Amino acid sequence: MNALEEKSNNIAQNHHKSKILTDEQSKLVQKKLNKFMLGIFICRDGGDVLFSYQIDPTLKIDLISNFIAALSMFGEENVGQIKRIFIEGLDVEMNIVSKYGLISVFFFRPNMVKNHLEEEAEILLDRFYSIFKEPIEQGKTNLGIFLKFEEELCLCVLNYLRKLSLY
Amino acid sequence: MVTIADGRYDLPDELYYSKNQHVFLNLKKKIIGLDQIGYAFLNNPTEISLLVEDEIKAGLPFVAIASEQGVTTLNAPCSGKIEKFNEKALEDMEYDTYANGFIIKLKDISDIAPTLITGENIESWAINEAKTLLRSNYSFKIIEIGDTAVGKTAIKVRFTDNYFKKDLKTTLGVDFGTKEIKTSYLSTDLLFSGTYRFTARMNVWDAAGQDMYDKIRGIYFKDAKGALICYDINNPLSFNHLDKWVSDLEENLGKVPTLLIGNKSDLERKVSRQEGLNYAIKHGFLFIECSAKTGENVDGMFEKLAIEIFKKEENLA
Repeated sequence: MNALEEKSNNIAQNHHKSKILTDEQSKLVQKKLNKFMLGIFICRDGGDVLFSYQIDPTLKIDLISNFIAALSMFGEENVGQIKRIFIEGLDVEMNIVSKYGLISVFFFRPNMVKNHLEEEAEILLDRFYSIFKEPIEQGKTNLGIFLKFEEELCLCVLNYLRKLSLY
Repeated sequence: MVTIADGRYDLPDELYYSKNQHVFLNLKKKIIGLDQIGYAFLNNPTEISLLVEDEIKAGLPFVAIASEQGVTTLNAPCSGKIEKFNEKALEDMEYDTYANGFIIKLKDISDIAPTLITGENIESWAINEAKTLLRSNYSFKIIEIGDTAVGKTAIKVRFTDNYFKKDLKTTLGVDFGTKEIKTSYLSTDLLFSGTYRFTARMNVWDAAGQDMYDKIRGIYFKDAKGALICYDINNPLSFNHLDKWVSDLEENLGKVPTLLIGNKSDLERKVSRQEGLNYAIKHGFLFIECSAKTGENVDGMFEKLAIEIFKKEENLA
């Protein structure tokens, strides 16, 4: 084998490594997410979705986000903050956290363990805001800016699994 | 072959790719070019120039490409002597980037950059890269206001679901609709001239027009990027009330891209087109007449508004 061939063979070992998670961790997170979660989105108070991670393809996240935003706006003006919604016929629960002019919504199966869920949702929103503070405050709605949050989301889920002693 | 982003980009797995610049190296054919993702990043390249004489060195600049976004300098993925520079590379790059669209052919290759990506590692890297490319995907909240019964809900329904129902019930509070549109904007801006293609999800908030909702309507304006102010060209009263809606808009949102709409163009006209146009010019609004019933101009007007919002968001002239 000449030097060039050796180099090209070494290159075959180059990976595009996830900055945060190992492959094994990613797979575990995906598995757990798929089991209990239907989707997650973070939108502005006004309803525009900035980031979404959809597991159940039937969820109409863009419509739901507008609905939740309107409900939150109306709630804050009139009845108080809305934190959780349960849709009986659809067997779906939604956990809602509002902060920094953003709303995060977790869709999950009612049988999911909910210990620390609100706390974790808030951590997730804190993280999102700390990473994207500038474009959020500038009112940017280019979704490409926020796409890289997927890895952070997986890390938050992994931490959550640790707290539940599932990892 | 690795295919990603719903079939938009192909990356042959026998090639070697530079991580950041998407320069490919074909070791067998000894050719270097730009992969399909790299080509898409360039956004309509116009000119290519060779920066070296007869030899390239791994990691050092070897070619410059001018495009709508400025000049991009590419670094060589390997070292070697140049056999041929393909001056017509840009002509073939879009459809045949891996063969006729090559940039240079080498006589020999003496070294290759150690950070290249190939084989089974291409897919995860390319998926991540393609995500960055999709940075032209917007979400715009649009608030739709105007007197009751001017056809706001009918306009929204025609746009989002493409049908017309005559006896729509009065909207209570607020109603929503959403639709994704693909459009482009030709900018003549001195620094950023060129065609910008983008996708916009238009989230239309149809606010109830009745007076009883005056107190709560304002909360629904939050974060709206644009507005539709509607009147009925068959109902002069709805036109005379426009000042109220304009002040409502400015009070809650300030100046945002706004489209003044004269709806029901299929009915007998009682407000002239010129009156509508003059009102729009006076307030710096876009203007259009449409018919939610026939669908005339409905899609076009949302596109117009999306472009105005895009221009504002990206600070384009």
